[in-house]
Amino acid sequence: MKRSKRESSAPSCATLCDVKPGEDACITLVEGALDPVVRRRLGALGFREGEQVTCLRRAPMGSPILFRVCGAEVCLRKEQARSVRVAEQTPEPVAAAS
Amino acid sequence: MSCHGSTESGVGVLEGTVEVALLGSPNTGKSSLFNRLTGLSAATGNYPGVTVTRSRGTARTPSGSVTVTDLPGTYSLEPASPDEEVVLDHLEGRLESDAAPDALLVVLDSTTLFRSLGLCAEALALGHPTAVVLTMVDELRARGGDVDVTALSRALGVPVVETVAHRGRGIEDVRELLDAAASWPVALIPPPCDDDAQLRGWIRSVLDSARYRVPGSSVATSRIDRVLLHPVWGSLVFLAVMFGFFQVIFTVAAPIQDAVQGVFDHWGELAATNLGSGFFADFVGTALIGGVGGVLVFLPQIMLLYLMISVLEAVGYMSRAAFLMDRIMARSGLDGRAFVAMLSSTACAVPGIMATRTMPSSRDRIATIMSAPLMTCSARLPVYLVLIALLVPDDARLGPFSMQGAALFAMYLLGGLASLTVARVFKATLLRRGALPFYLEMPPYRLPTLRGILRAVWVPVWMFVRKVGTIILVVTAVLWVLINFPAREAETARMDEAAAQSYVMENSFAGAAGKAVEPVFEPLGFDWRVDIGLIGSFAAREVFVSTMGQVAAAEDPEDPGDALRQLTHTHGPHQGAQVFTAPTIVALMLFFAFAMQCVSTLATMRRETNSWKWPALAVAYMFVLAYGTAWLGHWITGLVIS
Amino acid sequence: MNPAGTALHPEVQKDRAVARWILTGRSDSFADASEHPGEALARLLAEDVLVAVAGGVGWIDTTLAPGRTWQEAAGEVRSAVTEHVAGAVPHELTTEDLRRLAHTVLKRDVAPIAGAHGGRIEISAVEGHTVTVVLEGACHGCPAAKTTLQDRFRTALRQWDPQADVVEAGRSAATAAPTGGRSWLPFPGRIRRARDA
Repeated sequence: MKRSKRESSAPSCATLCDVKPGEDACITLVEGALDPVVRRRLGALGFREGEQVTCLRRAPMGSPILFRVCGAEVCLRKEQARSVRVAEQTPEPVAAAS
Repeated sequence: MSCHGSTESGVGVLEGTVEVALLGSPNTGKSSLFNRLTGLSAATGNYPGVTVTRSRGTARTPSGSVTVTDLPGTYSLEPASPDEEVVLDHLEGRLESDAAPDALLVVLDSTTLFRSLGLCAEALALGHPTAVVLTMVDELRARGGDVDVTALSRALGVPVVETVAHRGRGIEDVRELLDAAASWPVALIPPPCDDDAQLRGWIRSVLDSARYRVPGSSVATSRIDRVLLHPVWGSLVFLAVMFGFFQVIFTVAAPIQDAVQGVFDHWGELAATNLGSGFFADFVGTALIGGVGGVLVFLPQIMLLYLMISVLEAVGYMSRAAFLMDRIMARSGLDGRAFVAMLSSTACAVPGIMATRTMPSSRDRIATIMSAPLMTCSARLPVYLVLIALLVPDDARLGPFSMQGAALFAMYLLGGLASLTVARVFKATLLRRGALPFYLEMPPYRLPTLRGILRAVWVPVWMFVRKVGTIILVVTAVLWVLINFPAREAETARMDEAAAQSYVMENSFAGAAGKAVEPVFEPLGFDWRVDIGLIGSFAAREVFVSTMGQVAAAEDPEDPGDALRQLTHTHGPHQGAQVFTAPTIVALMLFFAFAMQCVSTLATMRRETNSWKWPALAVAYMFVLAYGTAWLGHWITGLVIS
Repeated sequence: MNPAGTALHPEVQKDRAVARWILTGRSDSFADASEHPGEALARLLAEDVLVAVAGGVGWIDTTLAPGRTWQEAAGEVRSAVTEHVAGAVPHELTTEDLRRLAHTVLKRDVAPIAGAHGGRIEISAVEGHTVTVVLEGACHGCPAAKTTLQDRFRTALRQWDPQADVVEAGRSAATAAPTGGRSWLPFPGRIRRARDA
């Protein structure tokens, strides 16, 4: 998985699709280019910029992929996973962790 | 149950009471909460013009009662489809059929607050008096999470109550809360729903004030999923579950069905002996008892189906099954959840169609509803068995397998492939627009409550008996009249019973109809007697078998099977030739495979799609498909054997 | 603390014109907000949208001018407060800051618990990062009450000041050890009814 050096200038090419089972990632961008409805729906499920995501497993044929986000477990198909860009997990001051 | 006038399209609000709407995501226990609050007073109705439904009931509070409306589960109020637009219209008072509710009760799953607070923010921004109910609090704490309810309430500015909805804890507190619904606070400063970054900040800040601790993942669920979602073990378990599904239907249901059938046969005999002969006796015996029996014989199978589906759903296994099956279903443009509907349709399409309610996309739902009836249902079985027996000799073998068994398997396969193909066509043409991105939530495994399961079985079964039963009863009665009238008493006075029956049938209304329709089906090789059977079977497929039985008995009461084989055309170009030739049998089987011959299914389709358009389309396309393939089959078989 | 990571939410006070913006991610004091408001806040004050601005440990109060509604002003005020917080340099809490914080937290989170069991807890002194309390009524002499109330108070204070400590008057922290007895914690499953603060 590629490591993005800076936050904004060079966009990270890694997407949720590239996160392997057991790995964490941090969402950097949910591509709204194709359909704002898709972006909003993904956001409502918890796939928002800045959220931490963990890939749990993939289905036998590669799709869908099961993720843990915002405390819930949600599956996405490969196509949707590809439209969510991620960066390697950076330690964020997440308020809830006690 | 409908003290406030529930109808198909509108469920009324009790005059003078405060109306509280329940809002929340799917899988939060909102329905359990609603059921506990409203008990049996709830009635469900469709919103006008869309397929989603809302339920309404009355909840007792310490000082009176309150109307509670359960809105469809949603992750966000920003609409992504007409279904969701309707809910927003309702909340903002733009619907003619439903006024905006007086207050809003937001149900949030306490284990996923980082996500569900987004919905809460949107709800607060609407400006209604609002309160919040937290569910699954036991699970939250068991998994190492925590929340300070008082602090959360202060941060949100509205009352917050914690519950464990499906176990009924906290329900009394909710009732007390509902008492004051009209005076719940309105959010003076709406949360910043327009700006994503600010909203995230708001959520973080509120949860920090509430000292929210995110729960760890459920250990039990992770362990179980390691097996159930494993590529190899998971698939094996899945196949075993599906196999078990089938076995239960055909092994457990069958004896019960036979028992029920036996009871009705017994009553039929009682009627015959005690009511004498004559029309009334025959009517009671054949139409009434036979009709009602025909419906109730289905019940064990349907109840078992609903029972298994609701247990699997409540436990959480359905999501796992959808996860494993999604790739395959995606080839047809459907999603993994459609698998359950398709599988159930192999027993009966009625529960299968109702199972599509779990699918969030209305387009997917309709595509599944339109194609599910093509799966080989158990009503087609008797027809196939009779026809295969006529076509294939008992002892024919295909390697080690019985040829007859192979033929039956082929029909099942045909149904499955046809179903998937048709779904794909629908998704690609009529239903192309409005695609929702696929997502599937995997709830943690939970022990279902007996109460919840019983409710999930009772409600649809009762609806089936009431609505569908009425239709089948009426149709059976009408058919009886058509077959037995005009009575022709004078002409049959001197004939023996078999000949008399035969004569009456040939000259009855049904007979006339059969002869009138004969030219239509002539290219398929059907004669007017088969056509009578077909006409009857458009109500319910099994009727074909009993009708053919009557025809055959009329010819030769000793051996109906043989009689069918001996049947010859009575007139027309093939006069004297055998009716049930190989091409005709193949045509008949293909016709039954594809034609819509079930009023129950149509009634259910109508109910689930909330319009007559789709059932009508189903009848039309399936008839064309049936006729076309039957003709093709007739022609090809003719070529093959000559 | 990362200023860019500040999150906030408003809590409307008993006086509906006053909104307290709770700042998460900042545990320093904003008591100087009224004297030195940020640019946007100053502008809102000048344009008569806000009539007053005040601050404390982790919060900023904004008072609406009469005739204005939150519906129209909330967005602007929110942005203004965010800007002020982002621009403010974090500094250490003074004793005065801690005193005001302790009083707020006590009144809101700790005293009601004591009261529910027939006791009372009061602050007798604040020095450096240490708050000295006095327990009275049913709480007096009950070893479990002391530890529980003190712990809750300490935990609450530490959300803002990680070095805060709470001791009972007349004893040092070391000798105030519990001598066994039942846990007095309210059970987690107990339903809490929510009331506005």
